[in-house]
Amino acid sequence: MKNNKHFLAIKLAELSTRHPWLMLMTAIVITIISIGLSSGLEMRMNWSDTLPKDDPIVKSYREVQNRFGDPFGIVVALEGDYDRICAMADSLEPRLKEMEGLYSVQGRLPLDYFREHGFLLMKPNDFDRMLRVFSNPSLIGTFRGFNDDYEREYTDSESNMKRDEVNIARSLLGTHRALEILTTNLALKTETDTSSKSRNPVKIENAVDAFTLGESWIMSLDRRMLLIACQPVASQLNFDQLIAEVEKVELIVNEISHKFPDVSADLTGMAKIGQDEMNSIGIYTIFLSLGALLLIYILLARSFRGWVLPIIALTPLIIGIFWTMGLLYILFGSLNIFTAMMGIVLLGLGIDFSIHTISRFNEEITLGKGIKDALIAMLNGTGVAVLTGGLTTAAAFLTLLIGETAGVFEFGAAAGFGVLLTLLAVFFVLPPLLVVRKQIENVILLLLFPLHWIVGRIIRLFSKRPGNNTVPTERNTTLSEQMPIIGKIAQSSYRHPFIFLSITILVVIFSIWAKQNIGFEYDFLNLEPKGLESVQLQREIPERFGMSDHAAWVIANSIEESRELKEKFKKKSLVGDVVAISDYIPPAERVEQYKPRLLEFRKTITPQSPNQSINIADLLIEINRLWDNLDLMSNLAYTAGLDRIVKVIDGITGTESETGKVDKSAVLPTLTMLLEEGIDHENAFQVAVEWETRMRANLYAMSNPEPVGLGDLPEVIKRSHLPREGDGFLVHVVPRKYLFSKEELDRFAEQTSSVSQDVAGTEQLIVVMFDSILSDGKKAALLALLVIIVLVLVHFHGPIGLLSLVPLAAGALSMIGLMFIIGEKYNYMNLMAVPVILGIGIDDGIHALHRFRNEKGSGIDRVYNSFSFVGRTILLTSLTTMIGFGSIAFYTMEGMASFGRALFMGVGACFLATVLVLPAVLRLFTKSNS
Amino acid sequence: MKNLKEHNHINRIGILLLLICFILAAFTNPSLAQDDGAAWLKKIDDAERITHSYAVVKQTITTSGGSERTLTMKSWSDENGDVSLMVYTAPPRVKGDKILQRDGGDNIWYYMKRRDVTRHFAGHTRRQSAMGSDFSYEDMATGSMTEDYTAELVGLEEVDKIDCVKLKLIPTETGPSYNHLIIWAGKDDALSRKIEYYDDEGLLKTLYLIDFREIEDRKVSFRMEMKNHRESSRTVMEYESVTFAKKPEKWMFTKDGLTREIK
Repeated sequence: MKNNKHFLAIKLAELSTRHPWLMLMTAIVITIISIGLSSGLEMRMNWSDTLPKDDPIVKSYREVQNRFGDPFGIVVALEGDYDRICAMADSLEPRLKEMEGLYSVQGRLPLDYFREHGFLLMKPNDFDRMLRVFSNPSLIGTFRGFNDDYEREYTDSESNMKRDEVNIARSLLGTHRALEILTTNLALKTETDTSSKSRNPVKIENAVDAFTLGESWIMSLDRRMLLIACQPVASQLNFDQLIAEVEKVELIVNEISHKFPDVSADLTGMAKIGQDEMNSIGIYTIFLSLGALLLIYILLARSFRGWVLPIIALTPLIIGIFWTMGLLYILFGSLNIFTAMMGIVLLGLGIDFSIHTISRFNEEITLGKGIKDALIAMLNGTGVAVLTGGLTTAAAFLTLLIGETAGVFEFGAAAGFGVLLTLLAVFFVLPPLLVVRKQIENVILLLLFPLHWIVGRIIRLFSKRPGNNTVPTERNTTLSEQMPIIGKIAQSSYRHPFIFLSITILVVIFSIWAKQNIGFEYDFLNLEPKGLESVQLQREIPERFGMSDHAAWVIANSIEESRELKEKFKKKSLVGDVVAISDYIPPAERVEQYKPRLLEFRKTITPQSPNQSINIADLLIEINRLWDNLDLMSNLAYTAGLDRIVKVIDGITGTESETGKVDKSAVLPTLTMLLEEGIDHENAFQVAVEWETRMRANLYAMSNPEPVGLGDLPEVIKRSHLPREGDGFLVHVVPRKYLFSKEELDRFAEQTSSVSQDVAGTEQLIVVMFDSILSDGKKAALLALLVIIVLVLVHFHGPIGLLSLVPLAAGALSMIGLMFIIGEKYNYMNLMAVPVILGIGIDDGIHALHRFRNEKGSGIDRVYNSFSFVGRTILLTSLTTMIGFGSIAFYTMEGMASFGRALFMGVGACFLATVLVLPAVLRLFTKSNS
Repeated sequence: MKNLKEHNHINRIGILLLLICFILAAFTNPSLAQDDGAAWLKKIDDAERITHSYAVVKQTITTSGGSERTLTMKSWSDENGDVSLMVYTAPPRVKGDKILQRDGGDNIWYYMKRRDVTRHFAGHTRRQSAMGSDFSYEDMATGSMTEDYTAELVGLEEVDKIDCVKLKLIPTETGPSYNHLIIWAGKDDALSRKIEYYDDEGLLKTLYLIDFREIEDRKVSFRMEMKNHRESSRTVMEYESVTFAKKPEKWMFTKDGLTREIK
């Protein structure tokens, strides 16, 4: 074996000295191919791309995505005054509908459908009530009907009110709009102009529509934000196309925005966030990689005391990174949030290989060896150690391949193969580079010898330090110089083992306690890049609209099954709303049951001449009653904590939610005041006529008793519930609120899965993601530990090797303790830092122990000498690794940054533990020898 | 001699076994458990029965947005809890609003001061949440427990380091709407320390009664916390002061009385 290694080293050295350019050209060609391949890598930065592929919930989720698309792929949010956002939405929606890349655009709600079939779609209780409420379609009769209904059974059921809070609140938005239009119309006077066409831009018929059918847009409860939901044709699986559609939507929105400068238009949704993540992380990756590269370069330049060697050290590393990216394209075709930082990770890890090998090469050259012999010595000696260390790290990373989570699996593959490819690049590229450098250096030295001689003389002449008669060159620079301070610190630890070990034990105890007490971050939006408009909107929407902006889905096999599922889901406390195809298609028995009553009702509201007069005093009474009833409902909702209802009603009555003071400019106070002060009777009569005419028409249409089938549904409803191909009906289960605690997420998952095992949505996926990462992390950490134990036992030929695990354990635990101190929570990214630190942190202990064993003399001398020598190297390699991970900490994406922070602290802690703890442990185990 | 010893030994074992059988029988005999349960329920009823009271109460609820809201109110009860009146004192929005309950919660009126209107609530609301809290009107009604439930003694357990009897309460036909309740009451004072409310789907909510203080020779819990396990919400009711000394005036518990100022 040793001969084989020797043979390989000789062959590689021969090849490098004889054909350095051939080797370099080969490497360049492979690198160019790799760059070409890696340019095709997609940036899939959403956490959902890293889910375990075989999990049944994930499979259900993917099935829904593939068959139905993502209904909230792109969401356009318009913010501003009510009229202006509606006007912009009116301009925007048709343009979006023209886009071929959008499968569905849901802006204005399909109110015509509700107008045609409204009564059939009501449940029996509501049906009875509404027939009664609308028994008199005149203006005063309508309000009287509503007031009577409110007062008949005041609190229908507070539980229902709680359960239907959002629907009640949304239905009241329609009332608000109706009152607004009514007030504006009643305020007009006949003498100005009351012809129905030019009286007001918003006609009374819109008020009636709003009153009977509700708000026509997806409107926030404060009526200042409007949403248009777009479902792209492309799914997450075709990410590039998806992003292209986001860009097209952005272009259209920006174009129309120019006409509405007072409206703020922004985009969110999974596709938009995906684009933002990609852009944000992509740019940061480039900047942070360059930053890390520069820092490492400066550090190396200082250590090597020159500017060329660091470039040589970094070249194979950069080549190895490109090779890795090319391989990742072949293996996965994309980068995820874990593998996106691979370049920086490899930069921090791989530089160690170059440092060690170059250092040894320089040592050999300094000793007077020729290039070839120096290369052989380098490859045979340090090369083997580097190879062993690299293989250990790679093996530790490759243990992550047992991960069920795609993110963990891909990270393991990328890091494991990345380390191997970087090793390969170091062994294949570094020797010819060193040869070429020596050749060039010799030529330059030959050419510049006179100048060099003169400069040397001048420096010697002006040098303040007597005897410093050499110009420092890289030629005689090695990293095996001593760093006595580290040796002295290690000596102290060796001298006072119980003090150092006691402190270590305290730190470890604290860290174990911290490990149990660090919280978990289940709010995945907190892990998204900071400052992203799309993410802020995503958080704002649930607050503004009163419920979560995303849904869980399940596929029903029939309309009736979707109806049953809806009823079951609605009973669950954490379910806010359920939208199913059955909402739009009444069951046959209901149609039969309602039909005679609807026909009877139709007779009573058949279009006829409206009342010939209007009593303003009666109208005032009803408006006052409405105010009483709404205000009382709002107070009840307030004491019940149903703030969404409070917000909407208070918007109508002008009541300040906490103090109860009334804003007189709100619609109900304004209308009341208007009626009290007196209005133009003729105009009021005209308004009443228009109201009644439209109301009769609406009620007549709504009482259509004919059955409804799938073919009658508006396209937007079909596209929201029917698959693009095949059978099935999508049921949307919307959580009551934005859920971000483990307890609630689990309960929502438990409640929904008790209805159907196939429910899949963001909430379930978050639970799956966290559980899988936890499980993968534990398994990988154990396996990595096992691999490391075997390797150190083999490497040190016995259990003495286990001592190198002590600083690793202390360092890894301290990392968790430090995470607790700086207030970190566990998240799906920094959990992976534990198996990763095991792979990285072991190096320091191995190097230190290795050197200690090779030293001769008393224990105290061996510690001083070994740590003085090895201390400098492990400090430098730790610093370069910390620069790598420290750079990751600057990502705006909090998840990635926390991963970087954890490993930055972990690597530092492992270094400190090696210097502070290992000598104390060595004292205990080597006492008899010292 | 040896035989006699063995004989005595066997006799002792036999007697011991017999004794154990009797004890087990006593504890496993359902009628005996029910008798004990009924006796304990009466004790609890007697210990907790309040003829009339006046209290200043602070109620903290969880809003649908997830935040907490504190409401304070004055509360009067009479006729062994069959009638009660609550008047909000804060926050300003609801200050002066009143809730009148009659007939053990079967009839409820809400008076809103700001609009000077009174509305009657439907009878079935006694099952509904009282003033948005996790208590229902029937939870708050302080009628006779012996009339509302039948009890079965199911064991002895410690709650907050206090020895308690554990009873299973099954509602009578005219009783509350729950499937059953499990109640822990102090062995020494027969005061409830914890109550679990079950519906047909299982455990719905749990009431914790803590901070007992001596008021006018009565021991009263000054803090009651109801946790709703399904809604993930909780309501805390805290007495700021309470007295049983003064009987409230009759007119306070009438619909017409709602519009009158209480001094």
